[in-house]
Amino acid sequence: MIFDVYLPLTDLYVDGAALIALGLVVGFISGFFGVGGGIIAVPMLYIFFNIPFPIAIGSSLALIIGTCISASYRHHHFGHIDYKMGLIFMIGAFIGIESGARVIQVFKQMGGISILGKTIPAPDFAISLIYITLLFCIGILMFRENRNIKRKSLGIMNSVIVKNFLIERFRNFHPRPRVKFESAGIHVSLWTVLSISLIVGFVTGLLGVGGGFILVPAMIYILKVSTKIAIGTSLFSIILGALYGTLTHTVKGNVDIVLVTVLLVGSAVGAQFGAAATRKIEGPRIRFYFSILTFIAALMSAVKLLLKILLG
Amino acid sequence: MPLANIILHISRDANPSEPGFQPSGVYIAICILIPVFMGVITGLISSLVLRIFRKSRTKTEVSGDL
Repeated sequence: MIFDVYLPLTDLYVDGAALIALGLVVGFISGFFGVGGGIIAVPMLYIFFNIPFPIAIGSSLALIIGTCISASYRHHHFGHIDYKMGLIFMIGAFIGIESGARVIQVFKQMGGISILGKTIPAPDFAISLIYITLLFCIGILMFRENRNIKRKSLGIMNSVIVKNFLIERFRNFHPRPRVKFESAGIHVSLWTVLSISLIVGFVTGLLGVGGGFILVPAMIYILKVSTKIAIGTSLFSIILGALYGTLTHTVKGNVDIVLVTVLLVGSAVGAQFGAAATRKIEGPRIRFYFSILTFIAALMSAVKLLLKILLG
Repeated sequence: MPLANIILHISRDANPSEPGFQPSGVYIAICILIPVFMGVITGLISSLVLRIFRKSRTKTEVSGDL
C-alpha cells in the first residue's frame, strides 16, 4: 500500500493510490463513452476493496456526479452538448426514475425465488436478466455495424445503415410537435425524445444504473445524432439522475464521502482525458470500442447478479 | 488537514450501523456538494491549462514565422 485511507462507514483501511487509479479508469471510460461508469466502479469496489454493495452503489452515484460534470465541461468546449435535448432527457429521466423506484417498492412485496439455496427478489432477478440481454443486443448491433463499415470500405457491402424492425419503427414515428435541436442538427418528434428518456429513466430507477449504455446508442441509431454529440449530451443528462440517486442513497447511509472524494481525485482527471480523446478518434471507431465496453458491462452485470445469488 | 478531519468526523456521525441512525443535513449537503465542487474545479483547471497551452503554442508559431 502506498498510502492508506480510512473509510469510516465501512470501518476499513484501503489503498488510496489504488482507489485513485480506479477513479482514473472510471473517469476516462465515462468521458470517452458518455456513460456514468457505475457499472464498472460498483463491482470493482466490491471485489477489490471489499466495500459492501449498498455503499459501493451509493458512493458510485456520488462519483458519477463529479465525473460527469468534469467531462461535460470539456465536451461543452468542444461543442458536443445539445442542451435542449439534454434538458428534455433530464425531465423524462426524472419521471422514469421516480416511476422505476415506485415499481421496485411494489416488486419488493412480491417475494423472491430460490436459486442455489439463496432467496433473491424475483423481479430483481428478471430485470437484471433483461438488462444483461439488452446490453448484449446493443453490443452485437454496434459490433455488426462496425464490421459492415469495414466490409463497405473493402467494397463488399453497399450500405452501412443499421436496419432493425424496432429501430425503423422508432425512426418513422413522427407525431407533432416536432422539435429542432440546433447543436445536434436534427428535427424530430418531441414524443420520440420523451419516450427514449422515459424508457432510460425507468431502467435507471429499476436497476440503479446510469442510463448511458442505452441512451448513447438510442441517440445514435434512433435520433441519428452524431456519436460525439450523443456522448456529450448523455453525460450532461446523467447528472440530474445521479444527483437524485445520491440524495436518496445518502439518506439511507449508503454514501461514504471519504471514498467518493479519493475516487474523484482520479475520475475527474480521467474524465478530462476521456473527453479529449473523443476529438482524436472517429465516430465509427468510438462505436466499436463502445460495443466492446457494452459486452464488458453485460459481463459485469452478470457477475453482480451472480454475487447477489451467492450472497443472498 | 483540518478539512479531511471535519469530513471524517461528519462521516462517523453518518454511520448507518449506529443505533437511531439519521444522517445530518450537513452530511447530506456535503455528499452532494463535494462531487459537484470537484467536477467544476477540475473542469475549470483543465480549461485554464488548455488556454495557457494554446496561447504558448500560438506565441511559438508566431516566433517561428519570424
